[in-house]
Amino acid sequence: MKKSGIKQGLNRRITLIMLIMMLLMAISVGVVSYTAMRTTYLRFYNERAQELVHIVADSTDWEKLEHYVKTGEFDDYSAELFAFYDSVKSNFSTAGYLYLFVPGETSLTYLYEARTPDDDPADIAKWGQDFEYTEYEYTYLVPDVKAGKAHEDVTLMASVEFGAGLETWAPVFDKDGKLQAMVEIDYLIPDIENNLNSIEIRIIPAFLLLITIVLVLTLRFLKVNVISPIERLNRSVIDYNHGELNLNIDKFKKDDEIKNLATSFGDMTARIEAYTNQVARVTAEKERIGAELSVARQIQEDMLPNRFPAFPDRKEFDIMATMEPAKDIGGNFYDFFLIDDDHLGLAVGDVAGKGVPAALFMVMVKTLIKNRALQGFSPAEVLQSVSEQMLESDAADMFAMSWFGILELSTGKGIAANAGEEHPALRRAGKKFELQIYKHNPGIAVMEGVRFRDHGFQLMPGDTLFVYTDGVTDRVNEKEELFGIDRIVEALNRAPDASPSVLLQSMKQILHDFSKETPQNEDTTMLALRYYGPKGETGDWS
Amino acid sequence: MTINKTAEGSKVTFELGGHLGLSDAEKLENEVKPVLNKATELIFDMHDATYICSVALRVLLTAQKKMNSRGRMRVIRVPKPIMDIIETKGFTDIFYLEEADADAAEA
Repeated sequence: MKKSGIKQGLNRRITLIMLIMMLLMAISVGVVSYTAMRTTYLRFYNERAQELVHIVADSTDWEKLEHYVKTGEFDDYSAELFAFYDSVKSNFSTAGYLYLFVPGETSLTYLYEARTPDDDPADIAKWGQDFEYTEYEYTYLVPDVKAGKAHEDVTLMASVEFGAGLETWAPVFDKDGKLQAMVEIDYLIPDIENNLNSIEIRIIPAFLLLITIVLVLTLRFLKVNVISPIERLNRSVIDYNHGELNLNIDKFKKDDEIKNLATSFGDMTARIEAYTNQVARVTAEKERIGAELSVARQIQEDMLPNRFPAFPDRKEFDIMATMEPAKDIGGNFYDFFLIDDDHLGLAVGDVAGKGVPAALFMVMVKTLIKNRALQGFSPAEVLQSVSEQMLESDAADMFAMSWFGILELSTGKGIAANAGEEHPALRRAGKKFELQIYKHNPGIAVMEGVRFRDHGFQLMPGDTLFVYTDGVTDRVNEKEELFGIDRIVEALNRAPDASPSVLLQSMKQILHDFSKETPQNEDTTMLALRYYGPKGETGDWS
Repeated sequence: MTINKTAEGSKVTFELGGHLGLSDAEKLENEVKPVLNKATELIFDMHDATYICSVALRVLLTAQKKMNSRGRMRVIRVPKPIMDIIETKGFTDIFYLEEADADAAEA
């Protein structure tokens, strides 16, 4: 079983996306946290610088410093003050400067710079030392001096010479409130930078570790709850497509959409299975029935006398009959038999209905007619008897139309009984076919208590009798028109002089031309007999 | 084929129209059969019918047999083509018929 490409794709895509997302998150968190921390740090440092510088400035009494300011020599006050300055500087948490100066136009004049024991004395500014303003100081100090106020801004990057730093200052006023000097505190940002960086250096690996753990856990979760079930389902679908059903619903533990999908898939395959089985069963059954019906139809056809010429040694008559079945097995029949040497029995009939019941009914009727006729009864008596017998047999409301006639061959005298069958057509020699219309009995087994009646007729040599079922009359074409008895007569009269076989051939052709491909509901049965007289004197055996 | 059924109490009338072929006979049976045990008078009005096959006639035959013991059944306003079919099939004496002409005698 090959692994599907889809599984790999899903897994890989999800992992890749999660990785990228995590990375982006890490980067943005890193950037944001660094920026935020830096801003906060700077603000804190700035605030602290400002606090300190205010404290120091407020502690500086200009009047008391007068001596030091003028001479640079320490006295009690200045010594104590500047010791205070030094201790403040020694308490800086970061490297920086603390100094008192007199601000000028473009430079400052140091009065005192705080120092710690670690400082190299050479680096400390001396009393009276001038120093040019940094750009920052120039931009911001001078206006503050003029305004007589402390620096309030948040820091910016400062001079290159001492590295990046933050600077802030607070004024020292004389007793008249005039600004005489500034106390300034500089913090060195590299130290801040170092602090930040060291924090970041600790944060980032920790964060990366966290991200990795989250990523792994998420992927694991996805794999177990989403990817694996989908893979499983996908494999099941693919296997099913290759003809193998292997869905195990219990493997889908979570009660969610994927399990729904799996369950639905399972139901669907079960239904497909059931349906396929059913179709196979039905098809097999249909084929079996079809085969049986073919056999039944074959038996039905074979029951009708089909050897022609039927009585080659009898010159008195020529007879031909055909039965063309409809699409379903039906109940049409014809029959002819010699009752004795001088009497020919002729029967044509159709059972009302279709299928095997009609066929079975037909078989009984045909057999009973012949049986009864061979006992010497007249047509009406024959049909009467058959009708009563069929009614007794309780054959579910079925009945059959039938025409039965007996022809005396030596005289041409005929008797017939018509139990609901179509009007036969008779052609006198040299003339045209005409329908023989007289009152009909009801069909065989239509009703109890019916009296059948005989009808006499006379055939002269050269006369042709044509008997048929309503399969001919009710022949239908694609426009759903019926052939009808008028067309039958007209068709017969196209070849009135034809022998029975030629006549039936012609009729068949005409009927087929009429209905073409349209399937018929009824069997088509036709029987034609030509009488040649007792010695066959007018016979033409073409 | 069209079948219109109207009922007034226990008198039921079926108006049959058009071509009543083999496939229509079953529909006809399904409409008529349930009525046979309830109606006391059953009418088949054929005035719009153009053709009726043997199997459809069998439905009417069953109805006639049943109604003969329960009440009455008539087949009325029978047009000529239907009459021809009924005569050919020998059913003239089976049904109580009224032809489409006003003065037609009952068979």
